Amino acid sequence: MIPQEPFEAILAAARTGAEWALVELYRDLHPRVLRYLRTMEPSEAEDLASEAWIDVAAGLGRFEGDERAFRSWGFTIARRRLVDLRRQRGRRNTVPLPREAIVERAGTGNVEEEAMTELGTEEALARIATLPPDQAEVVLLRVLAGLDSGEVARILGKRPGAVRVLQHRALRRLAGEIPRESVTE
Amino acid sequence: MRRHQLDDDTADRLLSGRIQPDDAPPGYGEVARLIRAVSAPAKAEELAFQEQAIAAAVEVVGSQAAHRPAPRSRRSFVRQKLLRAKVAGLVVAGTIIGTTGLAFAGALPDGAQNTASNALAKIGISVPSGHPASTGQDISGVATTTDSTGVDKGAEISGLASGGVSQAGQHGAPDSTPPVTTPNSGGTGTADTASGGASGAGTGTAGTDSGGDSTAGSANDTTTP
Repeated sequence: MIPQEPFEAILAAARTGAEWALVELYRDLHPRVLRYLRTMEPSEAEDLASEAWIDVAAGLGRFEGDERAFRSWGFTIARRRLVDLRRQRGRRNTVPLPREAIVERAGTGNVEEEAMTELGTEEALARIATLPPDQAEVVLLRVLAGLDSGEVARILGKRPGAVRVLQHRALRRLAGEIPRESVTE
Repeated sequence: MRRHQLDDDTADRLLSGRIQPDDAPPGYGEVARLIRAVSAPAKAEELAFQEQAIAAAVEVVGSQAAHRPAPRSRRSFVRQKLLRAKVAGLVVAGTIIGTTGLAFAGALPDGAQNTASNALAKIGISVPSGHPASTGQDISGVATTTDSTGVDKGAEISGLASGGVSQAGQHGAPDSTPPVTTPNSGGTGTADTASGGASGAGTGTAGTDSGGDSTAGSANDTTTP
């Protein structure tokens, strides 16, 4: 986060409504949450991220913990928003992006060739979006929120062992060991 | 190409971005690159609505703060608790000292005085006990068995009923005061009643029957045992 100020000082100032402190928290949390939501629910990502941010601001007075706990808390709120949206829609899962767009943005599938080029954030997220949803979510929470498998398990309501299995399968799939074409929603 | 089988620790380091693409296990260099790209610094378009988001947050935090009680420092909180404890201690101490003082003076109501006397006796402090409470049966017993009569009897009964506080019969006119003379010298009492039926005197009110001319005695028969 901001190198000049410890997290505790930023949090304390943010609770009083100090704009500079809220900016620091926002710039740390929001882009990560937005990337997560864009991958999981692209059509509603901006709205969901905004609502999650307001929930975070409203809950600052109750939050207790360090910077890591703050990210975990922020992602918990964002995921709750996502789950609520899906529940309202009455559907279990969503297809984040049109299939054609994902395949196109995800590259050619030639891992050795792609490794030679610089990978952009959008392309990387699009590649993760080709994973089965539960695997994609585990990777996103681990990478974007910086959480360990136990924390991810808590947010997802799964056992840590189940999360570790999902992340292994996701990594193998991303490495091309499992053909991308076998991904089904 | 058969890829390296990842263990949990390697998977953790890969997902946390601690493995450089060139240092990744065989076949996972691309994955390491992908993960670094996902966690790259924020882009301008991702912060495009920062101004609105912060304004909304300031408003929300302000409204939340308005509904919370004013924050107190830990120091003032501790100070207030100490003050409360001191006040409570003073009240208790004052009550004990005051009650004990009143008990020493014997100024408490009889029940409280007895309780205080018993309690203080247990810790070796002697204070007067309260006046024993007289029951109606006690008072009735005295009233029917005492040898006293008239003012003396009333004073005895009253003194018992009031626990010795009554001063009845103590402030009346001295015995030397001459009786008031009235035109009617007839008897006004019932000798039998006053004497328990032993009187030999007349039982009527002589004055009434004689039209005020009777001189019949009105005192109890002094020979009555």
